[in-house]
Amino acid sequence: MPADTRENIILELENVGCLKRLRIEFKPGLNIIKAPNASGKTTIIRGFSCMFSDKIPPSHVLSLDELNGRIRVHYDGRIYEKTLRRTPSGQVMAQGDMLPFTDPRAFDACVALAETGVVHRITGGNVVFRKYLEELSYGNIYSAVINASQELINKYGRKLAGPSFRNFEMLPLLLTELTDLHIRRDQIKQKIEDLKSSHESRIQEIHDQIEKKSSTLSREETHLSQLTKNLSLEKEREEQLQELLNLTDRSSEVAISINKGIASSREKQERLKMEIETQTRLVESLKSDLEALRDLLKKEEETGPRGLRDLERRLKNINKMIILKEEEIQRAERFPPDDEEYPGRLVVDVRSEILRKIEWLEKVTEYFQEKYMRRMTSARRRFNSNVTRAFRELGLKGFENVFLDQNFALHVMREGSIRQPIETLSASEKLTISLILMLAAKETFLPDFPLFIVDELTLSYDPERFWRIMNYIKRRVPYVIVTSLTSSLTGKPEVIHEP
Amino acid sequence: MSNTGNKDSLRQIPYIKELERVAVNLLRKNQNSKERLKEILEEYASRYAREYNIRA
Repeated sequence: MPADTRENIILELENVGCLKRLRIEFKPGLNIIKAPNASGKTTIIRGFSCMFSDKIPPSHVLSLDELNGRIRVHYDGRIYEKTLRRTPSGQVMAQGDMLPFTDPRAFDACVALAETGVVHRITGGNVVFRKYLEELSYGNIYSAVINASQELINKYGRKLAGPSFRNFEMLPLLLTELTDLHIRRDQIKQKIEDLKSSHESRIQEIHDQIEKKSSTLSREETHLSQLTKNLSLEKEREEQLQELLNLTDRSSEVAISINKGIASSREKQERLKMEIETQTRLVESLKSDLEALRDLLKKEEETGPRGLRDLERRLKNINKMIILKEEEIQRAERFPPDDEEYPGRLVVDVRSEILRKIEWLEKVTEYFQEKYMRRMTSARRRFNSNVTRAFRELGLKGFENVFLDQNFALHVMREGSIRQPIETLSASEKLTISLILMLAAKETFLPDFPLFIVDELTLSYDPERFWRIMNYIKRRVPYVIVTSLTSSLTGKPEVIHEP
Repeated sequence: MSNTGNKDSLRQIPYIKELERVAVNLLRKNQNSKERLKEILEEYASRYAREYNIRA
């Protein structure tokens, strides 16, 4: 893109850093800000960077002794303005416009500020470089999703290992224990039923015996009564025969016959008396047996079945154990109603829900890992390609190539394909490589960003090589801004323009 | 071949394109939105658990 087709950029600073008021103009091409030490070169860079990146906190921009400040940029026919305000609590707030080419990555890819550790990036090893390319290629977004997914998977995993789910794991055992208790309860109930049934049979048996005995007693009493009645009749008969004998001649045959009758009646009475005696004993015996049976019945009815109390006590205990076990199962099956996350829900449902969440998050992790790898591989390839082109076009003596390997470790190859360890490079060489890597990063990730800013890197530099690189960058970026130390007596930053 | 199959299956993950768009927009605007990102992931994971209940 030809630089001279663009308009000038005007930067106005008010109460920024050590500068009370400054108006400075950048033209397409190379702009060299020349000023002595502590005269505001870095302040200009910081103030300008605020308009296209949020990497510099407003508190680092506003003058320490001021409450308000302002940054204004004239760009492409428009004025962009940002105000800085110190609150009573001491915080500095920034409000206002950002330039249209604002990009959060621009500060890392297009502003080579000594304090941002541009050299540290190449000496920091593969972890630092990987992080740098992650941020510029937005690979960090993919790794952020991977990390967030992993954190959630771990969180859900911890949840599944928690007490509620551990109890749930015990559920089969608890259900088996409950079944055992039910079986034991049924067995005891059966025993009680058997005992009661056996007792009722026994009672019925005694009842039957009493009835039978009563019936026998009744029959025997009737018989006794009949015997007593027969004895009485026999006595009457003897008395009648005695009266008849008194009326008859005692020597007559009639009298003899009557006497025989009386003797027979007396014999019969004796037999009856003996029978009555025997029968009376039998009746007494029956009465005694009956009494004994009634006593037995009363006792059986009062005491109930033997062992019943013990069984009923055991049944009560089992019932209590069943209630406790059911409560335990309920606790294992369901979250309590006052649970913060899953009130009253079935543990099995929540568990399956969490497992499905983990399943989805694992798929997401895999997807973003794949995307991350592709993005980072592509970023590294494009970056290496831009670095190679820069070294080739610059034709810097002594360097064959510089590239990142698959692990994002930086390799510096000297002529003859000799690898030189980074730490053995001179300070000037480190700066050269850093600047070229940064330009490659800009061209890879922010090709349309119109600025490239280099601050205070000329101190330990070979001037010839530095300006060669700057001229190379000037051909590739519309506006290049470089600060340079000078011993000017005016003390004010001045811009020297090289189209 | 199996790698291609794996990629295809990854592309068929429910809501993955939608999630990618939302996450990239969110983190491009503010890289410190990690907590919001986790909330979004949880919302999608819950939706998956709810809507893919029968299949599971």
